[in-house]
Amino acid sequence: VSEDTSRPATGGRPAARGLRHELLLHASDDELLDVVVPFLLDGVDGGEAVFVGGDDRRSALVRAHIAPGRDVTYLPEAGGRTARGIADLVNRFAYLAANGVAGIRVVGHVPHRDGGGGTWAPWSAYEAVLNHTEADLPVWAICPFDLRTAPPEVVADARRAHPRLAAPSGGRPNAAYVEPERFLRDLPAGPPDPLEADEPTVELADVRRAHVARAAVRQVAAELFEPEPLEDLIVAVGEVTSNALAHGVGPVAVRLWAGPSRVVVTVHDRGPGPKDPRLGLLPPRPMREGGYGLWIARQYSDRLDIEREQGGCTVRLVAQASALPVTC
Amino acid sequence: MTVGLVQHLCSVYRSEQRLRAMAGSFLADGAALGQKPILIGPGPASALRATVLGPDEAHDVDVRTTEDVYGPGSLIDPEPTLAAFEAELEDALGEGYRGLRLVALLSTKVTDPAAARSVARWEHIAGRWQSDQPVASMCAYDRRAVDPAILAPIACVHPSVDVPPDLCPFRLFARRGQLTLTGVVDVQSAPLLARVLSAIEVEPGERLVLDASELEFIDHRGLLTILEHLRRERPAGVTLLGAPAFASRLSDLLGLVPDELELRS
Repeated sequence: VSEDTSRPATGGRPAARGLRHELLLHASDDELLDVVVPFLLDGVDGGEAVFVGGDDRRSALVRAHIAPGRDVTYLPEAGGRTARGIADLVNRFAYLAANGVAGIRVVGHVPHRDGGGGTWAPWSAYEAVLNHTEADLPVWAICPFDLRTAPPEVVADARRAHPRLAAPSGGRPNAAYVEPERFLRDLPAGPPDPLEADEPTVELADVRRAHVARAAVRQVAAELFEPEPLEDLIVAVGEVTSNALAHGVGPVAVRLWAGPSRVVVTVHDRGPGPKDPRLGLLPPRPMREGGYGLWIARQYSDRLDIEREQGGCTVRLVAQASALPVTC
Repeated sequence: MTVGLVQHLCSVYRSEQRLRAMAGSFLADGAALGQKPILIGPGPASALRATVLGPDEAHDVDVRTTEDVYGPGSLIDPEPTLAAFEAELEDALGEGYRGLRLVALLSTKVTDPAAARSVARWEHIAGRWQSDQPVASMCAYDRRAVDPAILAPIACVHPSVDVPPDLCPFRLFARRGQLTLTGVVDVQSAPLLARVLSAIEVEPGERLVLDASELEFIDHRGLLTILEHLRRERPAGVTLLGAPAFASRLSDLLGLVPDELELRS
């Protein structure tokens, strides 16, 4: 493995001042490498913090074309909860920025193995929301999508979530980009969990205090979960229930299903749901009211959907009994 | 409920009949243990004795008026009031009693919010003092006269309560001198915690240490409420001792700084 010097350098492009979030659609490995290898090497030469992460197989392809001694950090594929992995990454970048790093470059291979459903849906929400909330971070991120393997619906989402398109010459604005708020409103809620086809294990039709919902979680999940994920799920359901009680329109109904390896909880109220679809996707700013509850609930669950329908809003939480630790 | 020599109980009643029953047995139990029984309530003393103790019993109960004990003003001045209780206890022990057994009817002291804050502060100070003294007291409030919103922060500073369950989701009280937080502090009960914290004694420059080992639950709003309180009134910070593991993980997730709010397992 040796560094690929045949690729033209990008001419010492300056580090990003604010977030520069670019999409790279490529139909061959060369189209990928032509952009990202000089992009990463320019960052290293400029003293920036340089990361490659996401999907392991595609990261390995890039790594094979960067000399081993180069100061590039390869982030392992996040095995655990999407929300947690993103929060860790954003915290890491914010820490670097606060400590005066010259710039941050990232090549992020976003996972999309199972098409438009499970893995991609939460990622696409984060891809969109990053454009607003992290606009001040000095991060230049390129998200490559392989047209040979990425499902068409994933590519369509990716086109709408990135404000710029990457290119060997330094990128350009993306005409297909839509504002995060609209993107998130258009994002369809995932399908109900299969467990929901059965009668709930516990159904609470009119919850007045969050503590009642927390007690129900302990009741249905105590035998299924280790103490730590159990406590975190109790916290998550308590937060969502508290939100419904504080901001929704009663009655607040909580339903819980316990399966062999996971627990599904839905919290329904008759209000319109949170106004801002970006709420809780990224860490709330310190001590500012609002956004904490949903953010914490996302950190502590494997899936969190907000479904607005006729006559109310349902928040669905799914927690796997054996959540993998996050390594990112 | 069995009551030993040390107790600080908050009770509510809706009828004179109920008041007579609970005050009578509380005082009689204390007398049987060798404590000096004292009834405190709005004067005149003879009417108080007749209403609460009945015409022909318990003449060995000392009856004091709230005006005599807590002063004539609407607010309680904690320092002289506590000094008087300390002297009372010392006298009682000198007379051969094993301590004090008190029933205090306090509804007339909480007629407006400022007075209620003053009573909550007094209850906290008295509770801290008597938590390692042979003093058992029942603080009785008339549900017909006192708004639950006024009563809640007062009831919450008692280690024992005989009140409707929703009134006191958590309690903040002294146990053998150590402040202790128990129960549930969440989005719904955190505003009450803010009121209780602002009523408790502040000693400048001293870190507030709370035993949280029996804390059933606290959510982000509970932690942030404590943080807001300390930023306003307690720059030396707050430590929760024996904090549950989930609370520590939540604190880490929120990025709380131990210099300010420390959760020690």
